[in-house]
Amino acid sequence: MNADHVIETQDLTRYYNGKCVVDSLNLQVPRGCVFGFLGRNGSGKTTTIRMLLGLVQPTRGSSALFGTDSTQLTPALRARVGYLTEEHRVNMWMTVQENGHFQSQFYPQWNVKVFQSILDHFRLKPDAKAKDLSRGERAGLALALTLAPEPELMIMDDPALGLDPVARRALVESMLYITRRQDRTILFSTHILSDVERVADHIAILDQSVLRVRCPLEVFRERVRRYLVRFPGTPPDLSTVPGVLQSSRSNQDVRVTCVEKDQSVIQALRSYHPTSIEEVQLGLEEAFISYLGDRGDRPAFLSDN
Amino acid sequence: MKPIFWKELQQWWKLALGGFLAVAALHYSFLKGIAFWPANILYQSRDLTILGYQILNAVVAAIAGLVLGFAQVYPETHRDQWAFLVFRPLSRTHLFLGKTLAGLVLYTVWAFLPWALAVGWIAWPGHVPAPFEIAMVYPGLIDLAAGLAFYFASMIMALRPARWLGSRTWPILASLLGALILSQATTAIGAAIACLIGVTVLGLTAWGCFHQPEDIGRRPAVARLAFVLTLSAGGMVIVTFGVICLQILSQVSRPESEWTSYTLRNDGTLYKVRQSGSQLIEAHDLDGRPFPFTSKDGRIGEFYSDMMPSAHIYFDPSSARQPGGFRRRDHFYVEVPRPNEFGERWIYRMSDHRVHGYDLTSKRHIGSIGPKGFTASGTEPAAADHFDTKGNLVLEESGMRGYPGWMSVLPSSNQVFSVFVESREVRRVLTLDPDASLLKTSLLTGDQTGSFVVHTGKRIHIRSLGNGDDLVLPAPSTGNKPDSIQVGISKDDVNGSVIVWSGTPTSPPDLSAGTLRHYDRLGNLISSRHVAKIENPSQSEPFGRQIAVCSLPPIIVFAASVFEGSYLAFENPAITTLFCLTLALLLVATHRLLHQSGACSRERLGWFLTVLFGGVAGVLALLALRDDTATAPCPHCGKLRLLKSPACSHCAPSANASQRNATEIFADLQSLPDLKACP
Repeated sequence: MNADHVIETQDLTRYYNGKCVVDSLNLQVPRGCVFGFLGRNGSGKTTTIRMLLGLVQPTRGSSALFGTDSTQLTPALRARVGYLTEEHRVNMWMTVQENGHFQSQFYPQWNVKVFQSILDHFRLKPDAKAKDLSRGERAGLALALTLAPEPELMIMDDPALGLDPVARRALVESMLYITRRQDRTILFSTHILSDVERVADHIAILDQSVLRVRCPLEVFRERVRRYLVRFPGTPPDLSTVPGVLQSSRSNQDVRVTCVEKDQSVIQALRSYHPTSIEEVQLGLEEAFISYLGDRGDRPAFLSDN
Repeated sequence: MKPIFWKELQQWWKLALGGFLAVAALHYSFLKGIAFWPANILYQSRDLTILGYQILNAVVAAIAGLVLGFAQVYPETHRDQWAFLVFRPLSRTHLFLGKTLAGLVLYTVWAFLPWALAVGWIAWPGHVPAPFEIAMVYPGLIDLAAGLAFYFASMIMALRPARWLGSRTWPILASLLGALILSQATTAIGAAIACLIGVTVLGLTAWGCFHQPEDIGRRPAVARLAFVLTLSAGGMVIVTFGVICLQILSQVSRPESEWTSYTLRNDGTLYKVRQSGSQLIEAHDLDGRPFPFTSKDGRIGEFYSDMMPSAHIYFDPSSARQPGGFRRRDHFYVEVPRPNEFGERWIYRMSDHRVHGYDLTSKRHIGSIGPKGFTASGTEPAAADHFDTKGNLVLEESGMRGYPGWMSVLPSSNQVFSVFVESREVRRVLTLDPDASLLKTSLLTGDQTGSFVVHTGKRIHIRSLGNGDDLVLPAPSTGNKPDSIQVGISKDDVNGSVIVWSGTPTSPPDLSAGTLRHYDRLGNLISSRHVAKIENPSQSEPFGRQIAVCSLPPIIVFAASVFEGSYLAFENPAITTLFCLTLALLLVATHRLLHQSGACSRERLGWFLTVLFGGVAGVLALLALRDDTATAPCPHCGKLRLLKSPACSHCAPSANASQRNATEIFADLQSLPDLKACP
């Protein structure tokens, strides 16, 4: 295991009822990075996170946090990891202050200032019952409980789920605050691509339980491209070209979204003798959607002639 | 651990307090005799020996345990809530201990505290007209401890992700089985040991489930073993229930069976009686003469209304130890019969073998009676001044003509005394020879002269208090086996001959093989007649053996056949075949289930032993516990493959390898010279 990686997995696999939900995952999360973990619903993100934390036993393979097998995590190691669950679970029958007091008893390194500052940021009253908080407020409380111990590694499972834009912005700012220190690492799964764009510097994408992408965000942005390919006559089906994610034909044009490495796709497209090939600007969100969407040739609306 | 402990207390104290108030109200209503309790319970002295009260306590303990165990765990078993609970710098064991210790405190408040207050009230002099002994609290304490079994069982049920209508509730069934076993224990120490074992097994199982709710293989070995035992016990209850249902069904279709026995009537005549169910079909004396009286519909009437009133002496030392013995009232004291309007209550106390009296108004102790007479309360009687029943206590009452009040007959060493509680009198009515040992004494029922019978092993003394006569007869020889002796005075003779029946113990009024002797009032033998045992058709349940062979563990069936050949014998080819078929089915089912779960050889051996010793219950436990996610059909060859292995063992290697295409993007930060490391 590499000491520079806080998280490492080796052929991590999990089956549920005979169905493979995580398939031979090999993942390395460098220390000090903000690692975005993406994928469609049911692609295996939460299961992966739960295996990393030792909450679920893998069917095959292994995972390690700080070089220690996830199934053997000691209390001392767990103290270095903060886990924010998807549903922002807290002790609902306690007040905000009681939740903080209860949680602080487990962490010697509990930072009261961090806890209080996050409460203030989300405008949480200390004597408010957790069950009376809104979804966003409860997320703030959960975030405070997770950040106050100042963990070296933060693992967040869809932390922005159900949050309004203001609460989401507060969450993102908290994440940025964490990563001011170089030894802090965040792994978070999300569907909010704008948040990924804002904070993540490294991403991994699971597609149908298989890891398809593991690279810096810039690399992904650079590699996923869209071309507008014009033909003199009826355009051919270009979806079978290696590296093509999607293609959409209309009249004499084909809009091709692909993963380009070493210009191999464009070389292949030229072999079809198009009239022209133009690269079309592709936003990150569009790139993600194209990558995770249905592959192959898709019908396009015909333009009015 | 302390934060978890205090958190649990803080979270559930209101529930425990509410439980305390409800249970305290129940105890209060019982002790004060408030309505809704069955009248027969209220009619008795309300102390700790009342079985209904013990049942109340046991039920309260079970409910408290069930509710607390479930409440403390189930709300936190939701996936993310569970993660929030367990993913913290604390081991699962410490988490479990924190919850459990808090649960113990809550349980103490809910179930133990109200009971303890009730015990204190009962023990306080002047509250209950009955003695209080420390041993009386043992049943309650054991039942309260057994409530912890339900606590852990409920915890297991909340933790384990299984079907509610399936094996998820089996730990509760295991607790019920344990409670049933406890109720049958004859001694407090035996019950305590059984309770300790049960609570320990369930506690270890709960710990294991807390450690790893889903993955049984990652639990500590002792917790795994405890889990198997728990589910096997639950499976055993299921099997037993099924067997009972089968037997009930088989009984419904069964015609009423007939049987024949002997019965002694009040004129000393022995009749051979044939009956079916509760219907009397015919009755003939030993010379073949039919019973002369019939009712209007032609049936034999008034047969049992004139049974021989007699002293029935059933001599069997083992009868003293009964299931639930330490719970029973007669383990502590026996009620001395008295008139209903009598303002006092008298009991025979087992601890000091004296007759104690209580005033029903003040509920205070009056005094006690021993062979030397009455001793008032507050005065200590002499150490040797006590009766000596040798475990064969028989207290009979007799409204005896010419004698005041009510009499009880009590033996002491080689003497027999009559006790009159109203007048506090004690009279020695019989002294035996030095070589005689008093085995049993009994009053002759229906006899107005206050006659009683004493069996001394060699002789039978019939003592009439009315005229002071003492008739001594030779006792029937019993050998080493228990015998049933019935002594009576026949009705029809002018002077009433004495009838002595000795035979194989049966349920009165039916008699089996034995000897009937007639004596005159001077003790001379008039006649003696031996009757042989009547062979009745087998009363066993139809299909009883078949059901037993199929449902009992194979080891037990085999051992019973080898060591007790009369039942489940192998000489019956049909039963033997059925046993072999059942055993084969069990082994095949076990093999199949283990194959599907991909168990290793050590696990297979363990399970095969479990099935041999547990039978169907073992297979049920395996069904509930097996990891059916360990194998799945291979997408290429369709055969079952072990998922832990990267390749299918039946077809090409790496058969489940991920399908790669040209769209993967794998790159590290370091591989891009124009990208800097994270700021």
